[in-house]
Amino acid sequence: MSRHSIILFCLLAVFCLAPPLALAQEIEVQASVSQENISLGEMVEYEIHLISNQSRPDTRQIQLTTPPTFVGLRPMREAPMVRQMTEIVNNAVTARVVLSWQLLPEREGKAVITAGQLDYKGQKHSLPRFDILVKKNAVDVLPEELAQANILPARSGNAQIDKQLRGKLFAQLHFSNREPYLQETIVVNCTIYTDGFEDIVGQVGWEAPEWNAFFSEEIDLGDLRWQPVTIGDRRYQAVTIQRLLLTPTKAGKVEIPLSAAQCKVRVQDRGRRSFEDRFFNLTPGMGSLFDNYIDVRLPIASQSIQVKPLPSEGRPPSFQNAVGAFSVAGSIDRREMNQDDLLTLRVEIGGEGFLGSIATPTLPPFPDWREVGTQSDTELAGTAQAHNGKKIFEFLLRPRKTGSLSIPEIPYAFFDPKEKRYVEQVIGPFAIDVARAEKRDLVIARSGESRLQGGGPEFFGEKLAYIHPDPPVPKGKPFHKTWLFSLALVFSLLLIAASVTLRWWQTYRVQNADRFRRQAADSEARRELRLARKRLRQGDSDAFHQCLADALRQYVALKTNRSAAGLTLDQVESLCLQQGASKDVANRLRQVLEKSDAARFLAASAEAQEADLNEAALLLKELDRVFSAAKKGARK
Amino acid sequence: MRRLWIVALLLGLVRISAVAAPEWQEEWNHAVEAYRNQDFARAARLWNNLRQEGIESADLFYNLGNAWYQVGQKGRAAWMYENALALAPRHGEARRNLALARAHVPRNEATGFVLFRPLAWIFARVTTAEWAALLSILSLLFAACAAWAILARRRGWLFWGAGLLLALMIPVAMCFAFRYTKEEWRQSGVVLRAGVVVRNAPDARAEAYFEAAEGETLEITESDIAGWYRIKHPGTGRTGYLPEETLGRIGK
Repeated sequence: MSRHSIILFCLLAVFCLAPPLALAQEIEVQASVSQENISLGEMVEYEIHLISNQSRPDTRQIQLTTPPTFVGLRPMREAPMVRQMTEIVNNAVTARVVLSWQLLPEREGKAVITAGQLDYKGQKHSLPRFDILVKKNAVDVLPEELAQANILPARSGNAQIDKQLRGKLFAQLHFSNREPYLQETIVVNCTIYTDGFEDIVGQVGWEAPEWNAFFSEEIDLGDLRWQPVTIGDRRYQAVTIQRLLLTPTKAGKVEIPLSAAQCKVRVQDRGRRSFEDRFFNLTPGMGSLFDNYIDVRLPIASQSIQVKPLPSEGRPPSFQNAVGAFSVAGSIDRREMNQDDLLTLRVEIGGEGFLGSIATPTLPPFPDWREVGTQSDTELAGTAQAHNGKKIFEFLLRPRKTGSLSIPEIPYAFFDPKEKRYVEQVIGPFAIDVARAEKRDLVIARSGESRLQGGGPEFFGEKLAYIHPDPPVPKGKPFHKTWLFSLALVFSLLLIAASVTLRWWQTYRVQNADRFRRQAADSEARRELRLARKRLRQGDSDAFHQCLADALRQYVALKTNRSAAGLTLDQVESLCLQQGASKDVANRLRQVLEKSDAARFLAASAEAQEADLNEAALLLKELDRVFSAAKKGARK
Repeated sequence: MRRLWIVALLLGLVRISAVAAPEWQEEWNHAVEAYRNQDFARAARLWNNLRQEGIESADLFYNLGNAWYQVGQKGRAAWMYENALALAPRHGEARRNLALARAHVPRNEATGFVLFRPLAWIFARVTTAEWAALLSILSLLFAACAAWAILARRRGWLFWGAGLLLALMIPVAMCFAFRYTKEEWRQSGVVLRAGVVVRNAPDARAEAYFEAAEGETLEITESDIAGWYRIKHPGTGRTGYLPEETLGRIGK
């Protein structure tokens, strides 16, 4: 046979044999149960997985030649549920057919899923036996680790739901170290565990207790992620809802009081339908139409941690209470300098640990240097801000003399809680050459200028505005605390008030001018009479009679709202009569007025003038009575 | 003869003040001399003595701030500059040196709305007494104008003038009231040294909240708590407690 014939034969063999070989599909069969330790009312899932890395297994070819039997367990459906899945992991396709039974325990004690046999395309696969322990309560099936942890039952406010949640939804605090040293940072996780209530919806949170004896810092966890956790022989889904870094600030036993996690969970309303009925549970993980959402508090029992004091043995003298896994480094900013310059000694202390415990290093005495200032800064690293990073201290040193100077070793000690011992690290020594400064004349600069000629740096490379050398003039009280300020405000208010009052009075006077004129008549008449009496004493007869006539005429004019200038004797008389005066009074008034007019041409004796004055006064009284009576009558 | 008496009286007053001054002026001159000779520590001590004697002067605080700055006590320097600015808000050099003393303090103060910045700038540079004087003048002018307008016959422009004065007076009165309130009731202080830890209770063993920067200004919300101040950080709003000796009160 030629070589070509052999190749052709091989190709034909491949073409003919490939389909039967492909049909001989390799199938792997696995059987499992969800829990081997359950409580009454709790469901257990029994699953048989047929796994192929070629094509999907044909479900019609699956035959349970010896089906497993369930002793002490009742399947919710007779026939198994069949699911088909295809997974692609690293470009490798895995097809899977799952037969599953949901089983409810019938009684307390031991339940069994017997061994069986499965046939797929003539290949026989044996199924193992499972023994399941059924206990009365969910709490009874808690693993020993959790049972010892004093788990408090969830509280929803509904006794029936609380019963459903018991042992299946709870929260726990996990401390990375329950016996930390003073100022040693520990991690605390608040974790919710659940067995069947993974559909936590709404805001989860933790009402953290007051951390009175700790410095606390919260770490951002991002999105919450459920993770399967196996505790003892049970599987739980767990989610860490909060993570804290705690640094104890006092030694001794520290009690962490009762706290509570909160969440909202989906529970099935068993009052409206059978708990086993999956009719409405349309989409796995999406809930059903009859689900309830309830707020649940998950109490976390109080607990204690023992904070150990830092050991006194082996404590170096340079220890300043720094606790952590730190490292210390130091540097100087120059090796050569002038005497006028400042040297910066930089000390960096950092690592993992409570940065607040790092105090400013105490420098040993430097005979050649004078410390003129210190500044500190903190550089943070990572999300744990106060617990990861470094502190930087800068010491400003001024040389006391010139020449080759040195900064001696600077020790700095800290307590490393991981190593459980004190660690002392040393910075330096450093050698610096200090040259004599160039001589510069000091001058008193004006304000705003440097005091060094040439505008050189005065301190630290910064230009500090110069002092004010002139002594200040003592100042008195500030203006707003003196009486002048109060006076100005009060005066302003009074001025406005006075002007408003005056304005109102002016308006009132204008609006009631007649009334005021009437009121003024009496006083005007008496003033004129007083003037007349004065003139009489002076012996001025003309002026006396003029005043007398004016007093009477003006009185009548003002009382009757007339002008006194144009009033004749007849008008005066008739006006008096109109107001109700008697004829006698009117005649007497007329006579006095006539006498006054006549006296200007023929002077009367002093006695006669005195008599006229008295008569006029008497007449005014009577007229006043008459006009008052007339006014009252008009009012009535 | 009467004029001679007045001149003699004035001369006497001048003489009295000239005699009274040297008591502290001499110390002042010594401090200036020490500062010129770069003996900043002595200068600071002398000026601090004057401060403790009760002399209140922007220049004294400013010089003391400079001396403390030179010896590296930036927190105390910032405190003194703040005191100088409280008395003389337009003390440009104190403001400038304060910025130097606070160069290392992270700036996290709210800058405010852009249109309010000029007002804030003005507000920060006028003292309470000046606001009070301005308010007094405006109120007197307003009262005179208003009185005249009320009493006069022709008063159109007078009313407009009074309205304008009132419009000026109201913001000035508000500025005065705000400034006075701030000065009298809202206390603040400056952190005097580095590494000062703000705690959650007035106890040295209490939980540490945060570290206040040297020279930083904090609001004092409560005082007289057994040697502690309750403070509020103006930038972050965080509150806590500080020992009294670590915070220098501004003003009183």
